[in-house]
Amino acid sequence: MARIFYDKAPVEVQALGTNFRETLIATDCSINFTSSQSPIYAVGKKGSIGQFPAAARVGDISFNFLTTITGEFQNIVGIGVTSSQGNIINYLADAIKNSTDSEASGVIIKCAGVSGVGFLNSYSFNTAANSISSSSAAFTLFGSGTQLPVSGRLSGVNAGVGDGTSVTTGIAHGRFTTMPSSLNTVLYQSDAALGERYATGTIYSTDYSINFNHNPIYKIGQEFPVTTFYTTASESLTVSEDVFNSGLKYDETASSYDIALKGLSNTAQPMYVRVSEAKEVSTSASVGLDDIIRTQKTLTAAY
Amino acid sequence: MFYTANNSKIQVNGNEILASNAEISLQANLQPNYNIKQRHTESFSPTNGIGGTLSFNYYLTGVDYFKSFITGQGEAPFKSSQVISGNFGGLNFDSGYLTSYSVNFSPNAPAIANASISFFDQLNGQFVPTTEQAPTDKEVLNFRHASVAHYIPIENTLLSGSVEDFVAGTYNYQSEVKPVYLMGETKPSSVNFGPKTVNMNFETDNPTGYLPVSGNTARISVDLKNIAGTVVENFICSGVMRGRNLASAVGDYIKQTIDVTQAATDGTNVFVAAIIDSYGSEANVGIGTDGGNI
Repeated sequence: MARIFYDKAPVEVQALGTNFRETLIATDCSINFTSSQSPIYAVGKKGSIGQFPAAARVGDISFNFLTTITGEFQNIVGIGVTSSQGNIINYLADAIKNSTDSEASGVIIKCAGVSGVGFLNSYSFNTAANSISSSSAAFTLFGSGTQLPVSGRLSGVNAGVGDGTSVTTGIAHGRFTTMPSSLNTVLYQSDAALGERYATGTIYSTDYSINFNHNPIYKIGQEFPVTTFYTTASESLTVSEDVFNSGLKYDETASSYDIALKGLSNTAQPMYVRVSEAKEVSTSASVGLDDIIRTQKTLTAAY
Repeated sequence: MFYTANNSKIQVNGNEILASNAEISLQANLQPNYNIKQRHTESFSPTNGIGGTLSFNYYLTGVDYFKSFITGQGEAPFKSSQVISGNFGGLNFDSGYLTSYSVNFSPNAPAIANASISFFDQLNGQFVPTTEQAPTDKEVLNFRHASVAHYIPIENTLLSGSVEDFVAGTYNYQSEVKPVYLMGETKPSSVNFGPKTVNMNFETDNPTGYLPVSGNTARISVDLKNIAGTVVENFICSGVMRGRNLASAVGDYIKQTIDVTQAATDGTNVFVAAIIDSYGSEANVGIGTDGGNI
């Protein structure tokens, strides 16, 4: 019987076809494996004939992890050679959303002896003043050909560094993380008596998320897909400020933003995320007891 | 009084059908009678016999009873099973003919067929609700356990490519059945069978636009197996590929569909085996002919 304590259940992600592999500093992880069974009823009969499969088995793995920023991967598209630091999920998200190839390979995900090939569904992180940044990722496991979506059985795995495996230690923190200045809301007012006045918002926190759509292709005579295509992605950036933009335009100008997540060192290389051609789509303000009025604006980008 | 689907059993030639839905419709062919001075009339007269349709979707659990009608209906040797009697919750008919039949092939989906039976008679009997427990010994076949074989001779490999994966498709059978009424009959004494066609439409990989003007010989065979891996039913379409379709939509992959049609569906070949002369022995055909082949 497997009784495995959490310290023997590291989450490891390995990008297929590359040497990139990382054991994430995950704070939780859940694995699901589902088999779709539909009851079948017939006209003239009371009760079900039985339950029969109606779709392929699929799995999913999701986990939260500390936003590690000191892994070495490929450069973030559009930024350059100084942007290769980060974690493997951030690298994957950047590679997928900028991919011009539709066929997806997936990545190997392992946790406590259970593994599968997963396709990134969603990735998000947050960063706030004086806080440790945390991220979350979710993968769907479709399987392929005769390969099951989820395989293996629970077994304790040492979380130490294995061959080719690295545990990154630099963690993004709000202390030195700054958002690009173009992300701050700037309001302009021209007044005859007071002259030109500007109000620039202060950014208190930022939530980033991206969702990917994948399309597995199934054929008759085979349970698991022949191949899986990556189709589209939608990205969202929610920024908390103290300036309310009541002049939200019908068609806002699209801009790109390079977010640089830093750890507790102002001089070390940050982890970059490039949000391309994002448009502001909503703005809101809210206030509660003992607090300032906080505003939120959301920008979205599509790939 | 209302009843539920549980209360209406469906039987065809005495065989129970595990249908997911069923519909029976009856139509009297009536025409208003006008005289030359009228724009309005309250008088109607029948212009043809009464008739209707029983159509239903049903689960394939083994050898499909209706498949025998595709090759047998209207073909020699004429069998009594060519006429279909049907019973829908007690409402019944005894002069039905299979006019359409189809099966959708979808990945990981239960095998469901659709049959449509035309009948040329009134409905007899009355609706009698039944209460019966569903059988639990049936295995609904699934296209997870199917295999596809094909023979599509390629004349131009460069243009035509090859087919490796069959994603999904349909098998369709259509038959034209016309009632023959004699004077004084409201129920036809016989029917005429028109052309019967089998058509298979399949989404495949390897998009190409190759299609010769004469079509391309093609044969697709789908074996449907039970969970033990034994082939229990087979769907074949052997004819010509006469259509290709390429489609694409945002967020989707490029889908190629091929369309294969078979126009010969008789299960038996009719041919002259021998000519018997006046002495009762095999003889030559015509003057100067010799040998077994005509």
